[in-house]
Amino acid sequence: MVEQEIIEQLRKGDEKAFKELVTLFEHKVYNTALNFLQSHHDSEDIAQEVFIQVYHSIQQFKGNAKLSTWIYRITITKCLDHLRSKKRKKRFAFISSLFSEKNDLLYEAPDFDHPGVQLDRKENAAILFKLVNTLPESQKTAFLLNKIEALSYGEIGQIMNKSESAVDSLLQRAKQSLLKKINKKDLY
Amino acid sequence: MSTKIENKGLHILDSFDNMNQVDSPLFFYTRLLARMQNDLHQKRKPFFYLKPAFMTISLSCILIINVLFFFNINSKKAVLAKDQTSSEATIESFSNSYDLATTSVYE
Repeated sequence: MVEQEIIEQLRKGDEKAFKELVTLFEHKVYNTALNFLQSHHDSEDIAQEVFIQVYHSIQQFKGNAKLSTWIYRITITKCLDHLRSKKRKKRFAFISSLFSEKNDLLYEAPDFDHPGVQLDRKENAAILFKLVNTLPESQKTAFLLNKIEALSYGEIGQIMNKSESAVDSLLQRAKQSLLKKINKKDLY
Repeated sequence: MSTKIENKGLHILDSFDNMNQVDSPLFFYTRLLARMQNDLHQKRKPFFYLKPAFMTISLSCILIINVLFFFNINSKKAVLAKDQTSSEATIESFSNSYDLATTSVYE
C-alpha cells in the first residue's frame, strides 16, 4: 500500500491499513523513543501511545508534511512530555523524601547500554548519552535526529518546525557544549 | 596534550555514528491492539460533579437558598421600617411632653 492509500484507508477506520502503518513505522518510532528515553520499557509504552495518537488524529492530518515527519513529530513530543513528567516526579520525590522518614528517592537508572552501539564504542556512547541528557530539549532533539537517525537538516527542520540554518546552529551549539562538557569531565 | 584531549572528545562525539537500529519488541502490534481494546472498554467515568443528578440537586439547592434569603431579607426590611417609624414617634412625643424640642436662637 502506498503512503497516501494507507492514510485514506486509515481515515475510513480500516484495521488492515493500521496494521500496515504500524509495521512500516514501529522500528522508527521505537528507536527514536529509545534514543530519547534510554529505557526499553518506557520506549515501548511511548511507541504504543504514538500509534494510538496517530489512529485517533489521522483525520486532522492535512498532508502538508510527509507521514513519517508527522509521526516523528508526535514521537518526539510524547518523549519530551514523558521526560518532563519524569523530572517533575523526581523533584517531587526529592521534596517528599525530605519530610518523610524513609529516604527513598526515585530509582536512578545506571548508564544506558544501547544495544545498537558497536562493541568498541559502548563506553563512549554511554558517556555521550549521559551528556546529551544535560542539553536543552531543542539541541538534544536536533543532535539525536542528526547523529542517530541520520536525518538531513531539512528533515529535522520540518520535524522541529525550524529553518535549516536554525537546525545547523542548534547542532553547532550542541556539539560545542558537549565538547566542553567532555573536556571538563575527568575522562582521561 | 590538548590535541589529544580534543581528539578523545571528538572520538566520544562520534560514538553514535553507524549505530544499528534496534528491533522493536516482539508482538508489538498484538500488544498495541490489546491496549487499544482495553482503553475502549475502560471508558473513563465522568467526574461526579458532571453527573446530571448531582448538577440538578446542587442547582436546586442554590435556588432554594436564594429564595429563602430573598424572603428573609424582605421580611427583615419590613420589621426594620416598622421599628424606625415607631421609635421616631416615641422620641417626638417624649420631647414634646417635656418641652425638650430644640429651637434655634436664629429662628
